[in-house]
This record gives sequence, C-alpha cells and structure tokens, in this order.
Amino acid sequence: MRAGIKWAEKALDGLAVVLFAVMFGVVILQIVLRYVFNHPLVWTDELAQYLFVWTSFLGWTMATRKRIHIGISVVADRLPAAGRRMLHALWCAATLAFAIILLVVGVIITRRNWDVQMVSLDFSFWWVYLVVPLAALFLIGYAVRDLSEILRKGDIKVTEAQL
Amino acid sequence: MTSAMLLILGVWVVVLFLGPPIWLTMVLAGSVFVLTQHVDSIIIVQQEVSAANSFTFVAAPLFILMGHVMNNAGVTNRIFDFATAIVGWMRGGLCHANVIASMIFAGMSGSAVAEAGGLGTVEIRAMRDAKYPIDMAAGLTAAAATIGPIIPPSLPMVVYGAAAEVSVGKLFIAGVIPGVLMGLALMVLCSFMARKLGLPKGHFPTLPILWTKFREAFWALMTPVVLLAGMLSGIFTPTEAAAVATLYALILGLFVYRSFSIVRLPRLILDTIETTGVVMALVMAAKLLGWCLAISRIPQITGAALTTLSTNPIVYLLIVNVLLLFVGCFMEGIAAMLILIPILVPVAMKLGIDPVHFGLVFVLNLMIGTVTPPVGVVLYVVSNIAKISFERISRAIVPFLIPLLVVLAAITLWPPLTTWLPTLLIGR
Repeated sequence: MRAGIKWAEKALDGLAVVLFAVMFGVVILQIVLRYVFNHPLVWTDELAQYLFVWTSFLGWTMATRKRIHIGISVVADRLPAAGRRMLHALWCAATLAFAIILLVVGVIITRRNWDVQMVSLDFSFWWVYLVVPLAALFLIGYAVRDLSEILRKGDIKVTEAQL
Repeated sequence: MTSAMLLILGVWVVVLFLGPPIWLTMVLAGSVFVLTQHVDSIIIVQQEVSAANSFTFVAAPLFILMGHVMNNAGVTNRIFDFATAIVGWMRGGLCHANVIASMIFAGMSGSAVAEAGGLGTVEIRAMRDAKYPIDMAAGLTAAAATIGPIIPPSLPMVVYGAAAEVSVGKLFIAGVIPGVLMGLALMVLCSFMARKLGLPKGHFPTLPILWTKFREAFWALMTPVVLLAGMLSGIFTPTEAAAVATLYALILGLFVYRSFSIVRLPRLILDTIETTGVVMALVMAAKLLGWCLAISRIPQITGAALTTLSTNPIVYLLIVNVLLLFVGCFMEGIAAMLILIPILVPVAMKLGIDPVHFGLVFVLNLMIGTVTPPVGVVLYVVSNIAKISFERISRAIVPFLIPLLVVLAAITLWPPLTTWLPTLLIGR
C-alpha cells in the first residue's frame, strides 16, 4: 500500500515535470517558428494553456501533500495544542468534503466533454478536464492521510509556502 | 440569493481567521452557495478550470522558474559585487550597494521572497562581515526586496493583470518608475543613517576593477534588457518574454557561468510547480467565489456603499490604501489581492481611475504588506538569513517603511508616475 502510494506520487511528479517542460518548450517553439522560420503555428498557445491547467491542478495536489498552502495563522498559532489539533482535523474533513464534490462534478464534466473538440487541436476537451478527477483523487488521499496522522500522532505539522 | 451570499460571506470571514488554507475557505463558500441556490454544480469545476485556462497565467510559473534559476546560477554574487564596485566608496557604501543590487535583481526576479532569499543572503553576509549593525542590514534588505515585484518582471502583477483584466505588459512598464523611486528613497534614508551611525566607507574603485566587475556581471545584467526590449518592441507577449528570459537564465547558469548542472533542473521545476500550485489553488478558488459574488450582485452593493462615502477618486484611493495596508499586515499578498479585486476594482473603474494606476497602487500596498508584522513573509525569510528573532526584525524594519510609504503616497496622488511611461512606450 505504502509503496503503491510512493510510486503514484513519483509518477505524478514525473508527469508534472514533463508537462511543464513541454509547456515551456511549446512557447519557445512558437517564437522560433515565428521569427526564425517565419512560419507560426496556430495550436501552440492553446496547447501551452491546457498544459498549464494540468500543471496548476497537479501543483495544487503537491502543495497539499506538503501542507504548504497559504492561510492566516495568527489566531491558530496562539491556540493551545488541543484546539489546534481540532482545527487541523476540521480542515482535513473540509478538504475531504470538497475533494469528493470535485471528484463527482469532475467526472460528470469530463464525461460531458467526451465529444467536444479543442479549438485548434484535433483532441477532445475531455483531456483537459481529466486532470480534475485525477487531482481530486489525490486530494482525497491526502485528506485521509492527514486525518489518520492526527488520530495516530496527535497533530500534523502545517507550514506555509513563501511566494 | 444576495442575502444567502451575504450570510455565507459572514461565516467565511470568521472561518478565514481560524487559519485553514485560504483556497479551501473560498471553494467551500462557493460550493455552499452553488449547492444551496440551485445553480448547476458544474459551475464549480468550470470556474476553476477556466481560471487556469489563460495564456497570460502561463507567464507565472515561467517567472517563478526564472527566479529559482537565477538564485542557483551564482548571479547574485556577481550583481552584488558590481553594485559594490559602483557605490561602495560612499559612506555606508554597502547599504547603497544593497539597494542598487536589489533594483538590478528586481529586473530578473518577480517575487520579493526570491529576492530576499537569494540576493539577501549575499547582502547580509557582506554587511555582517563589514561590521554593519545587523538590525539595519536586515531591515534594509527586507525593505529593498519589495522592489523585486515592482520592477518587472513581477509575479503579483501577472496575477493582478490576469484577475483584473489589465494588460500585464502595461503593468510591467508602469512598475519601472515607482521601483526606481523606491530604490532612490531608500538610498536617501541610507545616507542619513550612514552619517548618524558613522558607517564605514569602502575604497574608491580603480577603473580596471570597475571594468572587471562589470564584465563578470555583464551577461546577468543583460537579462532585464532581453526581457524589456523584447516586450517593448512588440516581439514578445509577456508570456513569451517570460519563456525567453527563463531560457536565457538557463543558458547562463548551465553554459556561461556553469554554476549548476542540468541534473538539478527537474528539482527546480518541481519546486516551481509546487509554488505554482499554491498560487493557482488561490486563483482558481477566487474565480469561483468571484463568480458567486457577481451573480448575487455583491460588488454592486459594496460598490454603492463605498461610493456613498465619497465619489472623489483621491478619497477612494486613500481608503483603498488604508484598507490594503491593514489587510497586508495579516494576509499573504497574492491571496489578499485575489479576494479584494472583485470588490475594489469595479468601483475604481466607475470613478474613472486608470486601471494601470490602480493596479500599481494595489500591488505596491500588498508588497509593503510582505514586510509588515505580524504576517510578513519577507520578514520571516530575512530573520532566518540574518539569524535574528522575528520581533527584532519587526522593529528593525520600521524606519525603512517610511521611504516605501512616501513612494506609495506619491504614486497614489500623482498618476503620471505610473501612467506616463506605459502610455509613452506602448500607447493607450
């Protein structure tokens, strides 16, 4: 089980890096084709945008994995340990609830877009929305992980990304 | 619908201060509204995806990566040495060098934290070695780091431009004059403090030394030139400029300075994606909540309330300044921006305030918020680097807030400081 999760996370990280690299490459490609070969492509901007949608959702789950999302910690930091623990459990439950909504609605919208064509690419829009249920699954996983850690170890350590 | 949304907002504000991830509070408020008001639940996902589905936003992760690459490419040392060679001979020369280097590095990084964390390490080490008071070094470094997101490129301005539908290119150019003014204002304060504290002077550089330092920093100094020239000549959109500048930074680090190897690139990209995830979770959640606000006509109601106070643009700008400075003390800048844009921007447009002018005032306020306690992310970073307590740097920053606030007042009251340059270079 644990090995399976580690493997899924590694795969997700790898996928995200590849998608990011392609997004970066596609923007560069567009510039080179336009100015060096005077032959712009129509689909590069659109592809970069969709890859960014994927990157955003995958990055969202990674930030949840590391518990580095931004929050206002002034009040929570001054609470006794028991209060903080309860708040943390509450947020995990709330994340779980939202992730389930995201999964259900994500599946519906993904299926609805099965035969919707992208504007300049010969793909179905399905591919863009597919990241929503995928990210929702990971969010559910992390919410469950955090809840069980609070039960087992007393609390979780939450930090904040520095933007 | 309106009263339901007001009720939800009331609960939301209370929950927000209990410290959950801000994106979570926003999507929950949005979801509760959508599910109780019989709106098609598809909206929840549609709004989230449509927020990220924007070519403008593609610039955000590219600028984040560029900052990471620059900090890993050994560029910071070269820039600080170059700045020291130019102004090091003045009294309190390292203070001036600190500000100059911050202004130069601001042209290569888009975030105050990247600036404080990368360049700040070099600056504080140098000032500590030269026996400058550590509190002063830390306070100045933090204050100067806020120039980072004002001089282009800028992550907060990409987010602002995309969320408030203002041209990112214009916002970038509009940041140049305020950014330079911030640097100059800080240097004026440095001169006073240097004389009062009797800070040391460095040696006057010989021409060969000046030339060597310039040559060593030359390729790094060209980064802002590549970025700005490409954007101004209309060759690149801001997003394309971000890609080109990032590629340039990579070439610099990998082949010219050979300061890091390609094996480290995937790690840098992963860090970038994580940071992007933090930003975009907020952006997407804010889009959903903003949609719910709009459909329940909250912006009209708050707008009407705000304009009953006064319809004078100057008065409105001052109210916005006070509000944003206050909010900036407690909330991270980009999050605060995304929450307040749907409320504050429509009123500004109605009062005839220039969108670029308003954008700059908005962003500068919240960047000053990164160096005001109790929540100031740049203060955390610098207190770690300088190894002084958060309380100590919270006191040390106080004098350095004055020049920043003076520049804020200037750009608030005199719009040409922000609107003249973009109009001149890009047009209306």
